[in-house]
Amino acid sequence: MSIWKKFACAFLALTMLLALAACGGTDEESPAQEGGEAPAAEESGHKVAMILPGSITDMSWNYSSYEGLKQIEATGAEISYQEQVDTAQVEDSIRTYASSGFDLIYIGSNIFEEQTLAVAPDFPDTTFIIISGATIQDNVYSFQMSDAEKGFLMGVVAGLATESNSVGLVSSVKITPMLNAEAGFKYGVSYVNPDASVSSVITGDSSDIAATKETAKAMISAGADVIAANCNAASSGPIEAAEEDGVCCVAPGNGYESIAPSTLLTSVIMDNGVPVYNMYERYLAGELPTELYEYTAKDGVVYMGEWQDNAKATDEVKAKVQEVYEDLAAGNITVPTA
Amino acid sequence: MSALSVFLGSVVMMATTYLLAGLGAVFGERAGIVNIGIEGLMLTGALMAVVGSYTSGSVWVGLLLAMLGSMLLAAVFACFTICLHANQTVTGVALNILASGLTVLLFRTVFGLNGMIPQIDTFEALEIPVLSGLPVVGAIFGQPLPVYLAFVLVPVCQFVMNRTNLGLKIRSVGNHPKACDTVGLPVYRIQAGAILFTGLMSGFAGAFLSTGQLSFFTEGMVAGRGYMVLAAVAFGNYSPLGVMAAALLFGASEALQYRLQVAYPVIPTELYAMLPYIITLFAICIYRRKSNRPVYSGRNYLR
Amino acid sequence: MKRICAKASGFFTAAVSILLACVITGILMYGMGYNPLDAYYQLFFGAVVGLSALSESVVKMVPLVFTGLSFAIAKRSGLVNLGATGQLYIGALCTTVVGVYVTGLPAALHIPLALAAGCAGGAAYGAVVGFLKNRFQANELITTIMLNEIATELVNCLVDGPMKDLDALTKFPQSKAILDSAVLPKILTGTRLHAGFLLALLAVALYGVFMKRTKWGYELRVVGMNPSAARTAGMSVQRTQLLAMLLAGGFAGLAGSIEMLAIQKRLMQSFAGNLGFDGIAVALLGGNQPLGILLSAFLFGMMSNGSNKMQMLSNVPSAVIYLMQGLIILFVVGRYLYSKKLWEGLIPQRKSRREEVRP
Repeated sequence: MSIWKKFACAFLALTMLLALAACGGTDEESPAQEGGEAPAAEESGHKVAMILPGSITDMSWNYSSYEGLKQIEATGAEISYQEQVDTAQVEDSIRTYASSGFDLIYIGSNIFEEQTLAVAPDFPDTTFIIISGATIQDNVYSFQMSDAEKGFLMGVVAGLATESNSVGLVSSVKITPMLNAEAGFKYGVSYVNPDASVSSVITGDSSDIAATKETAKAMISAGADVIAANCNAASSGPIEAAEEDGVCCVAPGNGYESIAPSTLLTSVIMDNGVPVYNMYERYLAGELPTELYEYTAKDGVVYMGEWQDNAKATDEVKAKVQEVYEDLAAGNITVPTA
Repeated sequence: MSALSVFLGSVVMMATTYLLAGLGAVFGERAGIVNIGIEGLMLTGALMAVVGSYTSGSVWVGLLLAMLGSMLLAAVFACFTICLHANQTVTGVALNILASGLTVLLFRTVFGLNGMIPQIDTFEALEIPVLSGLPVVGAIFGQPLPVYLAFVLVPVCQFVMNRTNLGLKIRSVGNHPKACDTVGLPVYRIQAGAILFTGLMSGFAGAFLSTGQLSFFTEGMVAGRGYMVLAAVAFGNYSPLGVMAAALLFGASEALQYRLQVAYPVIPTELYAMLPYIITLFAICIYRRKSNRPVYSGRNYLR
Repeated sequence: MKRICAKASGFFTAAVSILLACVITGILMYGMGYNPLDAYYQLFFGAVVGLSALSESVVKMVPLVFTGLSFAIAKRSGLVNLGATGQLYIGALCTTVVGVYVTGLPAALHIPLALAAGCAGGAAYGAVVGFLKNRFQANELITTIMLNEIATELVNCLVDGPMKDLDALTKFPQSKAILDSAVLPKILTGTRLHAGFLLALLAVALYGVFMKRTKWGYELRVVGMNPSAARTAGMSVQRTQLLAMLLAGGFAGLAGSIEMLAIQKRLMQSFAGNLGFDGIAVALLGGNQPLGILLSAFLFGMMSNGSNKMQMLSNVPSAVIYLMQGLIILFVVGRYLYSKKLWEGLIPQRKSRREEVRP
């Protein structure tokens, strides 16, 4: 028997082994699997779907939107989601969900707004909600979230913590939420520290952490001493860079504590889950907003994370940030958008 | 530390990923195997390293697991291309698709969806005494261990390729498989070995990306670097030394790109992002030499 | 008779491959706590049952036919064109320029003009590869990968700068929408099936005629099979390969062009996903033959469409779908697995039951 036939045998054995391992290995963890047949608390009879542009593990936009959907599921609705959807696919996805009996469909980003508006008239009995969309007509509803306020608070923290009066913001793609956050960040820095200069770069790729990390490193070697990251799935890059070079950083959400134990100041969170769930409640009550509403700090959508143990996070800084945050939540500060 | 020093440190760091995978790929290529699946092999390595490091607490276990995982996938490649005479390019494409699915599944199974990055063991920066204190080049000598390892491996690989019997066999198989078969060389076994070595080194490269240069895994984090490795091998004229030169060029243009973005934000970032590719394109046109590309490159040898 | 047998075995191969991939993925899904039968039901129904499912599969197939042809024609001349992605983007870019900024034309003129622009743009970009190869002996494996990245970044840059639609609903970087007069008409109401499908059929036919019936096609095949023999026979290898890259670029450009005019309507960043690299698999699975490419493109379109439905309606994670697609390609390309020759030697004592398929 020649060597390559042995190889073929070995391959087959391997395939079987893999399949077996897959069965054995995942059994114990299957209850925790997302999307499984979770026993619904009580059937509410509603079928809710969500179409997301990115991966639900991005710890940011898609993750928190999906968390909102899970909250809806907990009330007894049947849910379904599709992730990593692109503009060529979305029209077909909407049609599929709508014709399969889903009565409420969340569209995960305003990049799908036109396609949604094109398909929606064909499904008058289905309700569409565009996350961060701008249109309200017939069966299409939208809501906005204040990405600018998220950026603003990050900017306030950075502006107060900087000693070199030079701060950096790394974003990943040129989509509306990131551009608004960028504008907010610049305003936030100048709001508390008019002398500070802001260096802002959009790398163009949400999965390339190496790129966001190097960008931050370049900023640090150019003099920035506070780095803020707002890059969805690639946000850990700049935070790692800050930790390595010993400068402070601000995270765009919870969960980054372990990679920057000594330099993380705090995080600013924009929780898509809150408005997603809130819109569902209003949908159930038949009170979906007819005017475009923006969820902001005062709705508890944008808020500050916990302060980390950091020498730069002095009581003075914390107090000032708290003061600005309360001002913002009270509606006394208008943050410009892009 | 001066900005120049930091820049040089970055160049070496960025080059290492290309270099590690390139050193593996160069043996595969010389044996006549074109492996587009390196992207997938690296991605698998990157994930397995994080999984291993997370579950065992040691980055070395992670590295081992990364190499094993990538080699397993490379074995699939070897099996299909050698035993089943499957087209190498298509098998590579399939491998990439397969790996992008497998890594996401495994990642979510191990780490779940809890929205936080766990603490894992990573390769710490290792400062070489004296050398790391030097003025301009200091930062080059304050890197994680795999960086030094990669550059030490270059002369070793060069020696094996050009001066040993094994290297001669590999090169012959790529150029004249039929003749090799006639004189009794185990053509398939040599090709399989070369593929497995490509897998091993790609796994190392992936592991370095996720636990040396960075400290966690993100879906799709290799972000096209696997294709650049292919380019580095061809650009380095299929020799380990050449691959090192190509890797350093890629690393330098990548590191430069990020610095220019920060220094001159007026110019659109996309133009900077083009930079590494344009430099490579020009370099390949200017720099010409007799190609070492194997005669039998990319074709399956049928006995 | 022999040809019919060969075709039948081709179908058999594809069927067994899909089956194998489904079994392995199914075991995996079962292990993860999903119901594979339900998932496959959704896949099958979503891909082929009913007019709208079938038409969506065809919609997904159209660009793959073109990127497949792009790879195939270069391959027949002995070149490995990994650059379909870049050529596709340049094609889409040129089409968008014509489709958006050339106004006042009737559809009968505007559509062909936009398509021609896309085709020409892609062809020119493909020709760059041929030129660099001829002039500088630049390895096409490298140049195509580099040109892919450059084209992608160029489009990224333009849609965020000069071509950006400032009046759009969103501030997203994207071009203005293609004018109505340039939009490819739908050929089946209520679905997304568009005239690009007919163009794809036409392109496949043209490819077949070109390769089999023309002098150029003949030269191209000879150059691909044996360059030194071609040279001896007085053919110019350089010129022939340049022509092949020109045509390859043209096909890939049309893929981008048609996607733009029929589906996307606006040029935006990374709109093409994996179309370029999937084309490689399509071409090679189809043996670089016209009918083969058509069938394998349909197989891919079907899979892509069906697996989307599967993810949406049975909530299987999308990663499972990549897994299955990868496995299907593997099992089709490793079709030697089903050859009697492989198994006869392995299991000598069971020679009497040769017909048995042992996956």
